[in-house]
Amino acid sequence: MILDTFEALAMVSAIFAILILGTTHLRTNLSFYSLHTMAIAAVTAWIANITHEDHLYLVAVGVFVIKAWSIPWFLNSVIKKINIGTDGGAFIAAPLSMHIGALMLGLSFMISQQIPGLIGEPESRLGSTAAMSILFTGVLLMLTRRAAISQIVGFLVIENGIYLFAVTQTHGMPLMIEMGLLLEVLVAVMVAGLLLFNIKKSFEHIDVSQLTELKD
Amino acid sequence: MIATNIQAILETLAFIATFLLLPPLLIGIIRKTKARFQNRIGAPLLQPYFDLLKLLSKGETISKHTSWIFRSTAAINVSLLIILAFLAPWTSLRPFNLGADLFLVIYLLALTRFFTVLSALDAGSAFGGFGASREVTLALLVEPAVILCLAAIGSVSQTSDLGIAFSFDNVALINQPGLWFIAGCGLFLASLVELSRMPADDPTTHLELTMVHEAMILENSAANLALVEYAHFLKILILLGISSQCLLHAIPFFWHTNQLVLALFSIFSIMILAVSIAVIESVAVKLRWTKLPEFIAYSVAMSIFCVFIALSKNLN
Amino acid sequence: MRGNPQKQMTNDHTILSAANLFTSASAIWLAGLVITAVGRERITSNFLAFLMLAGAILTLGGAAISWNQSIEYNHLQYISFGLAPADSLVDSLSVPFLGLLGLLASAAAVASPSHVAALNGQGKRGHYWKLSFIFLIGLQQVLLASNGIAFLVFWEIMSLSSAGLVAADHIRHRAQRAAFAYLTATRISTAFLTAAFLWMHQNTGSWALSAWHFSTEQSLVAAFFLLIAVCTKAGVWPMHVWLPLAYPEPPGPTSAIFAGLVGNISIYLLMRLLLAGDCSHLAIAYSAIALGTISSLWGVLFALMERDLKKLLAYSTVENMGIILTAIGTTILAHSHGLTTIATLASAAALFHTLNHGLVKALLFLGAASVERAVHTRELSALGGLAKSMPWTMLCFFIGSLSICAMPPMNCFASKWLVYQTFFQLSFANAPILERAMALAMVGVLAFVGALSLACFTKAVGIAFLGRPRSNAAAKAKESSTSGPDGLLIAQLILAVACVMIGTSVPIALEGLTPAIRHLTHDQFVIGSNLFPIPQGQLALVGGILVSSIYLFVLGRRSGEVKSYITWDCGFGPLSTRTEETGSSFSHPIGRIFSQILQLKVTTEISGKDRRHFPETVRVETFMTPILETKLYRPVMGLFDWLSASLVRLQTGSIHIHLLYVFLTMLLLVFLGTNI
Repeated sequence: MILDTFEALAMVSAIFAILILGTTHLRTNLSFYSLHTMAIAAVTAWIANITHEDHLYLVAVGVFVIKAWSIPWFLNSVIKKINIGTDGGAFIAAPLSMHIGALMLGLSFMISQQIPGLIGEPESRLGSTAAMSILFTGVLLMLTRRAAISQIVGFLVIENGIYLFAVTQTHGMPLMIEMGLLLEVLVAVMVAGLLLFNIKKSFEHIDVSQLTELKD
Repeated sequence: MIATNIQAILETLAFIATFLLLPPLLIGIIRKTKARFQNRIGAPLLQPYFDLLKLLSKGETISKHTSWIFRSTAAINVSLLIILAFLAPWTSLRPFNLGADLFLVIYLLALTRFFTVLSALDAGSAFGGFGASREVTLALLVEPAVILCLAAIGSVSQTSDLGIAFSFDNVALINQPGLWFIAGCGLFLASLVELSRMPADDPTTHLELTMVHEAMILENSAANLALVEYAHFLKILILLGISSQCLLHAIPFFWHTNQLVLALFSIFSIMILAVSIAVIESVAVKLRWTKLPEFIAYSVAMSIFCVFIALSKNLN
Repeated sequence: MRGNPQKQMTNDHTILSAANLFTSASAIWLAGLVITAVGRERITSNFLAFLMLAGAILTLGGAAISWNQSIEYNHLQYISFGLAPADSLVDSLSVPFLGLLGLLASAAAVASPSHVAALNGQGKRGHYWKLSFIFLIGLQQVLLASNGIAFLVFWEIMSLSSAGLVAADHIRHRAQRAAFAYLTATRISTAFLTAAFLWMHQNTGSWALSAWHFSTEQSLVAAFFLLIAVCTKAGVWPMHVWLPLAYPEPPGPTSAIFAGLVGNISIYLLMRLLLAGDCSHLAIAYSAIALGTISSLWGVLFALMERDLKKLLAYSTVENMGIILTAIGTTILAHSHGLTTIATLASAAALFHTLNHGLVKALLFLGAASVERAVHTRELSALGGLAKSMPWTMLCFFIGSLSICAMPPMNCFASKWLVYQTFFQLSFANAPILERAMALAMVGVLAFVGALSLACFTKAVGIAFLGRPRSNAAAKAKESSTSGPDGLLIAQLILAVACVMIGTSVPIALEGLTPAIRHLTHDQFVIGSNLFPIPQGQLALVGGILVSSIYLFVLGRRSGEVKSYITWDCGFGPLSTRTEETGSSFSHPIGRIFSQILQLKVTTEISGKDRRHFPETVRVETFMTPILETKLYRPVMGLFDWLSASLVRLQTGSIHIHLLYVFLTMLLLVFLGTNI
């Protein structure tokens, strides 16, 4: 089977997302995230090219500027300020979680073959495979990490997965909705980043596994 | 008839000369690049050759506790690697295809490791001991990645003969830049560990406690040391050669070009990988021993991706 | 008579002589047993060893004569087991195993006199000879048995006599425990085996092994029972716990036969019934592959962490049995998908690896026995430096280690290559995608196991034979106590030469196995020598020439100037042997990675005034708790204990209550008999 270019790009972004899982070094995580999002921006642009829906070019630029560039930059500065370099890691070790993530890629291939109603032949639904794998990766990232900043990255990866799924299945939503979503993500990250400062200030750490006192 | 014979002989001679003479040059390139990165002029490119010649003319000292294993390991390893150079697809120009079976190649590499580890344990020094212990640990983590990357390539071309899988006439693999690229990356990362280069081991350190490969060859001297070093250089050539071949296959241009360009580029790409090793060593630090599995995991992840691609290619 | 299409018209003379050879081998061993029992001290051990050797050579000869044909005979017809007579059958599948038996028995016979000479006390000597002879007879007849009843009887004889051999050193607590564990395993195994045999008899109405087909629906349960029985006897995870206890215990020479054949015989049974009997149950295939995979990983991991040389070898058996079982499982899998090429490869791999592993493991156990005799310990931490004092033993052990790590150009490389090739070809065959994924994953797992076994055997050779002696006993070790040729050493040399010869001429060996492979796959066009295309012999030759030329021209040139000096000591004065790497420190980094499975715990205690810079004493302890034993077997045993304790209450001692039980049982039987 021959891959379409946009499917190949979607796979590249899925692979970069899985590579995020492999290390607990936060800055490396962010650069992998940035590469991953760039690949998603490229997917969007390529779909725009195929379907001739020009507003998707704008969305691609928006994804690139906001998600691939400014969010990592902002989070990087947060890391620098709160002075935390690596994540403690929880439950399973980072290498192992990366291998599980890689297996999830195979699993999502199987799943997307089974789901009825998706675009494309059951054998070649690589776009939805990639999207689903990114979704799983994000969940895995949030599950296996301890530092709050990794939770933010995990959330962003999940969001990317959902976005990729929408883009590959519907070939783009109206521009206004896309832009609204992008801004919303940006604001959410900003808020989460600012929250981090306060968490760090009041608890001296950003370990979410120890933030268990908010029950009841 | 005679002309083709002469051409075959010339090709063979060129091939043998390349693999015998190129390895020290690669080391020279790595050292020179690193020196330039540190703002030094550095030793001449040909310095490794002079070092080897100097070592050959020195008097040898060996420990009285050693057995025949220590004495013969270097010679055995050099011969094994010469055999491997004939078998393994480290360059696109190989005048003969001797049937480079994938598993044979891997196990010949393992055999060199078997001897190296035993000779490290032979003198009974603490350094040799922990060097050996670390070597087998690293090999354990890297081995599955290497074999899976190559097996995925073999699986797509439906043969375990690497000579056929890596030939540019093989139509099964012509449109697989993804597979080739990921396999190339995985193999390159694995080679860094197998060759005791930077993130895994610092080849220039003088602190025995952090060494892996250097700790194992601590007792060797003179001609024996020269052979050990040469064997290591040959291993660098072969492993970098295999990864560079994977990367070359990922570029469509090389599928449609002629033999000579290919041969030149395969040498050139090995040199580029050598330079990139030097760059990595200049900008990265040696990882802590406990952090190494995290690094090797990337190589394993690449091999898993290769496996997925191989499985999806043969969908029936 | 099915299963052997190679059956040829042969003249009576050959048939008679092959059958006669086997029978007379058994007769000679039986004579040995009688002589030992009657003769007491008058018989020299050389004579008994000669009898053993004669039987072994006759077995080898019989195997050689009948390698390509099937012979049915009933020399033991006057022995009848009620349900079926003790018929014998030699066919292409049993011949390789008979050959292996002959070879290992010869090696054991050669090694025996020097071993017996070292035993003190006539009782022990008699014990040794008697049990060895019974063991050999049992093994040979198990391989020759043509029906289920004869098989079970000789299987029991073999199991019980080998349990006796495990308990040979029965004064020691260790041997008692080992014998008890081994006996338990053989009981479980025999129970399941009997159940499977009865089931198959019920299905087919015949006791002949060759009449049993496992392709029908009804045979699934029997196949499962068989798998459990074989896994228990061969020591496959999770039934392997007896194996590291029992394997090290049999006395030196017989440990070769024990290690080389006890596990292999049960694999032979699996091949004879499931593979030759057309088993095509996917459930069996999947469970065999799963158990085999876990077993190979588990075995090699524990082998690596082991501190006792013989236990290390025993765990490595667990690993190899696992690999063989995966190959057998793949044969069944490929068979049920109709993939003939892969089925052929897999069955050839299983057969060849079984034989190779038997040979090599026997060699290694003899080496370990030799070390134990010289140093009086098997603890790796007390060995070291034996390469100087025991060069020949070291060479043989080294060859064995190379082989068991599947290094080219040894024999195990060929069989391991076949296993790799099986999975590799399955990965692009016409099979479901999950199975192809499993196949590629298995390639990775095998590479992982291979790397672990490399670590394990470099540890065995490096710590036991290289470096400096770690104890006084090791420093004083000698190759043999007598000046003449030492039997134990000659036995090792025989097996080592066999390993190298098979390794360098694999096509010939596989050609010899062709009838057996045809028997297993029912494919008449298989040619064994085509399965393995790598010219190992030529490669070894080229390698030899290269090494010797490098030796001559580079190293040898200046050999006059070689100075001998101490191992580098950083200039701090004489190195203590305690600075050397020990077995446990060698495997520690890997142990750390798998600390969850191994339950590895390390405690470090540093004391002294300025503890950080000038510690006075540093104490490091590592603990390993075997997880399977403590987490699975102990609770189960506890449950049994509790049940037995509760059942004791039924036994009140009052005669009336007991009569009541009899009455109740009778009622129950009547109730069952009325078929309501």
